[in-house]
Amino acid sequence: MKNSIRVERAIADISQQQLADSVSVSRQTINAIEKGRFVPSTVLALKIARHFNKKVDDIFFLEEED
Amino acid sequence: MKNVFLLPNRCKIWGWIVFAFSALFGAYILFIEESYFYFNFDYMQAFKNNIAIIGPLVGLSLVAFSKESVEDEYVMLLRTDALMKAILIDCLLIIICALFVYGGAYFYYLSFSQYIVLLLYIFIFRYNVYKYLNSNEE
Repeated sequence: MKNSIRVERAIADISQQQLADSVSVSRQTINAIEKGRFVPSTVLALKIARHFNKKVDDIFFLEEED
Repeated sequence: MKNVFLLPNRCKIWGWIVFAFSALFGAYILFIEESYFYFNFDYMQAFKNNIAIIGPLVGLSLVAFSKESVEDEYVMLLRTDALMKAILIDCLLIIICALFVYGGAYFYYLSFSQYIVLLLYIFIFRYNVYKYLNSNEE
């Protein structure tokens, strides 16, 4: 699964730490999600999408092999 | 997302204290007093043995099942990963010891093996958390 969190953060001009604080996880977790090393739970994906005022599938999308 | 019960973070330091004292006491009665393996039932000895057996288990459990200062779903994934590796290594150790260790040494191994899975879990999990907290590339 890929995501566009890094792009959304750049548009909103917020750091990993600020996003992490607003969805109650650590900065390293946001980093792991951006790098594609960690697939977040549905709850966390919904929180991240809500933070950017977008739908979940505007930010997270499936890859060929998923 | 709160679906796994974990003890408060401060239990971890108490766990290490309980573990250190009772493990030292266990080592004392095993290696210095040499009274751990007794053959005539004696209440005092049974009490001392129970402290040496239960103390480290309680201590290690407190350490293993207390929250990290940062606790989120990625840390929970690190816990699962550590638990799986710990059980796998424990199984391998049991197999190796069953094949190659005999007699009294095997008896010693059995008395320690109950702590090995918890100890492995704690050390692998700590290593995972260390790597996680130092993953700074942005």
